[in-house]
Amino acid sequence: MTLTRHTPYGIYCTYSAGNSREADLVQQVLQAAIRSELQSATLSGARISALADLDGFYVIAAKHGWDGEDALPVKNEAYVNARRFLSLMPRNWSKPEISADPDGEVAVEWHGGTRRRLSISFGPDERLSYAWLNGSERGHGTDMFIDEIPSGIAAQVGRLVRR
Amino acid sequence: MKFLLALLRRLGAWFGGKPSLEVKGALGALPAFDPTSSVDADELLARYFVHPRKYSAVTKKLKPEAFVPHPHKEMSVFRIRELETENIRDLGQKEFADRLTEAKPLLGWGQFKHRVLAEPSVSLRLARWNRSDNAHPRHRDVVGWPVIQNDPKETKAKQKEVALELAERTLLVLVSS
Repeated sequence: MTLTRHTPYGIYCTYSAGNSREADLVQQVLQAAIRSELQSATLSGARISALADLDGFYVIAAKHGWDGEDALPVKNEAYVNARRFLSLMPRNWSKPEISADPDGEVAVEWHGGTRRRLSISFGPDERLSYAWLNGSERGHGTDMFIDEIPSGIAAQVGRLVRR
Repeated sequence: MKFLLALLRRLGAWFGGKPSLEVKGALGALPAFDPTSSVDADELLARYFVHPRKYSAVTKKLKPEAFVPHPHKEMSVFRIRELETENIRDLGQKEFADRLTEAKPLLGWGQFKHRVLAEPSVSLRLARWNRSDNAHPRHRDVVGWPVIQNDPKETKAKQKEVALELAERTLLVLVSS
């Protein structure tokens, strides 16, 4: 019998208590999955670092007034949405900075130099808000985030801050 | 030693406690100020904060989250005309940080010229000082934040764009620096 648990920090813990052939097979499959995940993590330091930052920040920001002012607490659904987005970050994206808006949405921002910034807000639902500066250009928008990073946002990040 | 004192103070703020050590410089008397005086285009305004997530330690810029108005519809600033840096700090500590629900050590402020508010990419304005609000003579509200009717997400995105522009045009000043 093998139990695998996904911790809040994305680390797999495996417990083995079986000795049948099936149990061995399951364990081999799981170990391969763990190796694959670890390999992926190694190749994407920015993504792993951003996820760790978000996890640590959520502990602070889940209470009312976390910023010393009147900020609403970050809801679990907003944290989960932001985490899901960061988990899908392509490897060539730089590490964003994590914070939260006063209304309780998670704010993720990329900097690409002077007047090159993109900020995305994740709330409890699937519609996210974002705004960017790119030299003399600027803009904003909303988009649905369901299974993959919206193409409009991916394009903006590509123009601004891709490594 | 000065660096260590500043670091201890910052750590105290980070963990939510009051500072165990005070940086030198007691609150000095501020020069008299007429709250109804006109605000020149080059007059500096300060936006105070007490939490390190309000600015980027990498870029030394304030984040847009430091400006987006919530839960109010306006953003508080202070007029810092004719004030030395120590006076600006003391003003922020006494009139902003000490007045929070739980008093905190001031971490810093962003300062920008009044003229930035009027630029097309920002399009905000200072509200008039109102004696009946019992506000500090140097306190003003920044109003005129865009609202998209019946679409809070679009409103949020548009306000974020304005806040990004404002953040980019703001000079960050940290108390320990």
